[in-house]
Amino acid sequence: MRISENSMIQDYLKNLEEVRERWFDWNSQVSSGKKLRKPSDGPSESSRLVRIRDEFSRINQYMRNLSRADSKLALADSTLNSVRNLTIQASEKASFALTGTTSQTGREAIALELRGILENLEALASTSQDGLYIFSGSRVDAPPLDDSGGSYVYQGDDRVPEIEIAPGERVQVSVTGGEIFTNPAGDVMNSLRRLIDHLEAGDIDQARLAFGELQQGGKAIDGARFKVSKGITQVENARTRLQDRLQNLTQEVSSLEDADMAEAISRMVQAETALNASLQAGARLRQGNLFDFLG
Amino acid sequence: MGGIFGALQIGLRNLSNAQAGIFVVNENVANVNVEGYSRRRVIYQPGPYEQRPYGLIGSGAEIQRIESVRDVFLEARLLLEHQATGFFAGQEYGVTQLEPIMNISSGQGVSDEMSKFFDAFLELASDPSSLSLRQVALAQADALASRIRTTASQLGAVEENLKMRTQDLVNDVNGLLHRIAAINTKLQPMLSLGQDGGPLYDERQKLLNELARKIDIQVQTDQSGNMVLTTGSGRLLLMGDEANELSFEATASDVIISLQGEDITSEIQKGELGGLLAFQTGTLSSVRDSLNTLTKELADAVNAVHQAGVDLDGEPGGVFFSTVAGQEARTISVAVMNFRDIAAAEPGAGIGNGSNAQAIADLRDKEISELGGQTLTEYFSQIVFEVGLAGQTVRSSLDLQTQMLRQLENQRESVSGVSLDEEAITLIQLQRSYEASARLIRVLDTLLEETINLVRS
Repeated sequence: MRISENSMIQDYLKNLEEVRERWFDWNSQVSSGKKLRKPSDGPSESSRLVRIRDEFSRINQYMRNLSRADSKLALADSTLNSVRNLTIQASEKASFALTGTTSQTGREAIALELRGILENLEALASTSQDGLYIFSGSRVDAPPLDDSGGSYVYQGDDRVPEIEIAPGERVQVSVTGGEIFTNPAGDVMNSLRRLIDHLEAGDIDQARLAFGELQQGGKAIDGARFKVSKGITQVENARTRLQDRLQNLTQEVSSLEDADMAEAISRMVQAETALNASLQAGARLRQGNLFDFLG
Repeated sequence: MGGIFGALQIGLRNLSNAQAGIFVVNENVANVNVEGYSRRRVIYQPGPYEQRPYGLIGSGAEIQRIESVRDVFLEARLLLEHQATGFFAGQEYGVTQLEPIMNISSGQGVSDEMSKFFDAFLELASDPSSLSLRQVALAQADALASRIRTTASQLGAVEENLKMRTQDLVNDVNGLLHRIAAINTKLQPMLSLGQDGGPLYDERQKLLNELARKIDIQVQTDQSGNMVLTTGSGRLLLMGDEANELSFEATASDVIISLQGEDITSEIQKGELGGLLAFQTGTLSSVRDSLNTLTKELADAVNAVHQAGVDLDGEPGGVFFSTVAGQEARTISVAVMNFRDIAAAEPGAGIGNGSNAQAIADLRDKEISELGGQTLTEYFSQIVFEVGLAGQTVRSSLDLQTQMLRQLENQRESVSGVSLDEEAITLIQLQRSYEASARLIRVLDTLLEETINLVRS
């Protein structure tokens, strides 16, 4: 093929441009550490990245929700433990008061102690976190129990706050006050109050009835504690699963987005060598022609 | 004519032949760097012969013609390849501006803000009466709306830019048409005399290539030798030395290119203009429509859920996102002014209920039939895919097309380009033949002198 001066130069320039482009591409992969810098670098990878980023962000949010669920459940759990301990104490004291050997004075003394326990229970029922009552269902702005009418009435609702801890998986972070303190199957608060009143009045038979109900109430509290500890287990399981998923996602994002540095660097060096060679070739281009030799 | 005088005449002609050759070499060397220049060469032929009883006797060599070396078939193919290359170049011009808007590597795109928006509601659902979480949710909704608006206005800016580029191209096309017409006034008379037009023809060919890069054209010649230039669809752009101008008009949504009062926008299929128009009506408008659809569905879904809930004061939730129909992406804003008005609870529940905030967070997984059964994020990822694919396809087509064009240009250069070595050799040839002719003339002179001396003695 006939090579003209112009085609020599143009061909050289275009080749040089290609080599430079290749070099620049690898160079920018190395300097940015990314292989996906614009959607056209990998359309389907980019589109996958959009969805994975969303999941990534979402799981991080679930991790924060888990912490919140954790702290709420921990508070509910420890409060319920205290409630349960107090009712056990109350039962022990009451059963002692109800034995035939205890005198009325003794019973009155015990009634006084029981009244202290009742006050403690009342305080525990009004446990709050960040100013929100934890046993009022969704009515977190009002204490769960109202005793203005002479007996304890649960004034919350049965919508226990829920926290989503994994896609579609929700955990109840508390139980209702109605379930613990004024459960119809065993109304702890009202039975204890009646027990105290009957002990003070010396009405042993009525006191025994109230005592029986208090025992039932203890079982209801155990049921609630079981629910809460199940919630805690659920949170722990979710945490393990989410952490695994997060790790997978991190790897996947990295494999989609991050440049393979070893490859990128060796390709860049390769391209650099080619570029240098090309530049040297350029310097030799058109170094002479026949005119130089004409006398 | 015979005799010594006749031989002297041949010598003289030889000298002037060589001079003409050297002149052409000089011209070629001078134009070695001129783009589109076709090398010229002198075609010599033997002079007329005289019939003598003993045979033919020649009268030396004469110049038949001086011609430019070119391959018209290659040049016709080049015109076609320029049109195809221009088409992809026009598209690439557009997609290069579009891609940064759909950039996903920054972590600041529409999809990222959408994720954060849903996250904020997911968190609000876990503690719905928290004022700080409400503030965060509202701020995040605002950030999402503002990101969508920014993206829409960036798309608008690209559109404006492409319109301006289109106008520039139309002006360029008109300029080129006039220049070609001007060349034709001088060139066509030469061509009709059977001359090859030389550098003037080269210049016109260069302009035709430039024109083909911008718009699809067909070149013909009519019976009277006039050049007839039409658009790809056969509309007359130029006839001999008369050019018809394209006119450009931009409406709010469209670009209209017309020729002699008729809208030919949709007929332009190639060249940079064709590429730009195809990009505007194709990828760009599809991305713009998709973003609008996405925004509309987002706003509708969130509004429907939000209005079903109650706020911190037990009042039913209002419209959450407000949009203007038809230009949702450009106009979306958060209608809820106060964070107390976020309807996080279901009706009848206390302030500790976050069911409705959760229901808004759940929209993340909702498969929306208007989005082809995809979720909002999936739909957005589809837009990113389309933009990426368009970029990839256009770039690889442009690469391929450029390679083809380059090969053809090399081929053309190989036929028509100037090689200095070759010119040097021609020069040596001419120099030697000049020297030989000069020496011959001196010998003839001596012969003449001898003859004259015969008479004297």
